[in-house]
Amino acid sequence: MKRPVRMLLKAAKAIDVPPQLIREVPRVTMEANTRVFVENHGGISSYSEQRICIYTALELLQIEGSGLRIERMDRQNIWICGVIEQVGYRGRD
Amino acid sequence: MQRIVDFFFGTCRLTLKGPWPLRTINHMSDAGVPFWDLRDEDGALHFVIYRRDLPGVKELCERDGSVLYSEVFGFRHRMRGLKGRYVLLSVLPVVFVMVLFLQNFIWYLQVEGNETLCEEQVLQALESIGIAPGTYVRTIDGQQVKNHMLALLPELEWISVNKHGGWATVLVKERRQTPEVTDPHLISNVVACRAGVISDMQVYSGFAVTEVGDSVLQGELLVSGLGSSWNAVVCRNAQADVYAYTRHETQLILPEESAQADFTGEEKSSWSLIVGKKRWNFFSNSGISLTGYDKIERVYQFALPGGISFPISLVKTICRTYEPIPTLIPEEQAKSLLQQAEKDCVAARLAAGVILDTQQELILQDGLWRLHAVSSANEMIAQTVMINPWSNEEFE
Repeated sequence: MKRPVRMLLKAAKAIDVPPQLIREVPRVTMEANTRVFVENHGGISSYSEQRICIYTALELLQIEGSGLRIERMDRQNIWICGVIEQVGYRGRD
Repeated sequence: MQRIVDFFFGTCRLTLKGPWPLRTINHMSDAGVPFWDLRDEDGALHFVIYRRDLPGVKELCERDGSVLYSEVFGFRHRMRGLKGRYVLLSVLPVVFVMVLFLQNFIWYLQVEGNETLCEEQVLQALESIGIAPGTYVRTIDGQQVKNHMLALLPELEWISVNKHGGWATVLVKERRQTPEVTDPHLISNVVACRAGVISDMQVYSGFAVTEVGDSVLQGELLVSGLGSSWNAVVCRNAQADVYAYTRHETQLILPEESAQADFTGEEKSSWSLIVGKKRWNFFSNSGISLTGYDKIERVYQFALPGGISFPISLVKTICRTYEPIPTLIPEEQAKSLLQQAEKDCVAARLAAGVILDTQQELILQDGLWRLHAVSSANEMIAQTVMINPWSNEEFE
């Protein structure tokens, strides 16, 4: 059953609980501008060397750059390498 | 490290083509199939998965309508050539164990650094203290080997045995021979060791009592160590090279009749295997009932292409039977045999010098060929004899 993540986030904010406690919240870690580590992803929306879009529980995570490549991927984590120029969320199309 | 793990688990490089290849990728992710090195090239996705996940990925591709091309890597894939080769598979571990086991023994000994001593002498001495092909490496104690070998071979100054697996290199250093120093305080005479007429004389020390052209008998004084100067007696260590024309008389005999081998054509061969000093014969009946036979052994030594031979050899022994037939030796053959023997005999008697001339007479008497030869030679006849001028015997 899919949990209402947005609502849970608002509730967590209201009672001053760190959002990391919510399991489905995506976590993005960036190492310099060469590597991005995404936890709690929901799959790949689109993939090219210039842009990779990843489904998350909140919105679509968009990573832009050049020579982008998925280094490794499993059920929860994605490792992306290349020259990263921009990482951001945008509404689902 | 990851590469080593991937190699042993086995990996597949996949090429995914289809209308929605990313959907398959997401399904793979949902199914918990890890993949890496994802590339988008030529309208297809290329990535790598573990070999064990290949059946599941194939199933997903079929469901999504994607086409999958796979290329397998890894240890199992490399070893697929051994599949069904049971003999090779069974021999491989045996060879592996043998390599591990056999390197604990010495199989080849190499001697280095020897100049006057021959390799065989060193190897025989080593064998006498228990170091030979087949010796367990851990039993060799370098210090003990050195002590024993220096006692056995006084010519050695230093020795060391270096072990490299089944190979042992014996490094030796020979003792430097100090030149023999003549004690100038010794007193000696030079006498003739053979009778003859002196042809050449070089006196280095002492007082010559003969000269070129003199005829001398065996034991006669040639150069004296004692001389007089004014009213004093001078003692010297007499040294001289004295050459003289000498005469050698030789009598040689040879039976007129000798047994010649007449091969019957009967031949018997057998094989043996020699490992180190141990010999195994591959035949049950080793006895030969024949009286006369020639035994020929052909040894096939196992060796590496570089020339390193193992202490393992295969020996083929061939016995050819013959009948001894009495045959008369012709005069020419008897003459050449006896002449050669006489030449060798005279040459062995000469300390230094040359044979000048030989006169021979061959006669047949009582079933024997008799050669009477007289050779003249120009040879060294000087012989040094120590004297003690203070002993009563010398002055009497």
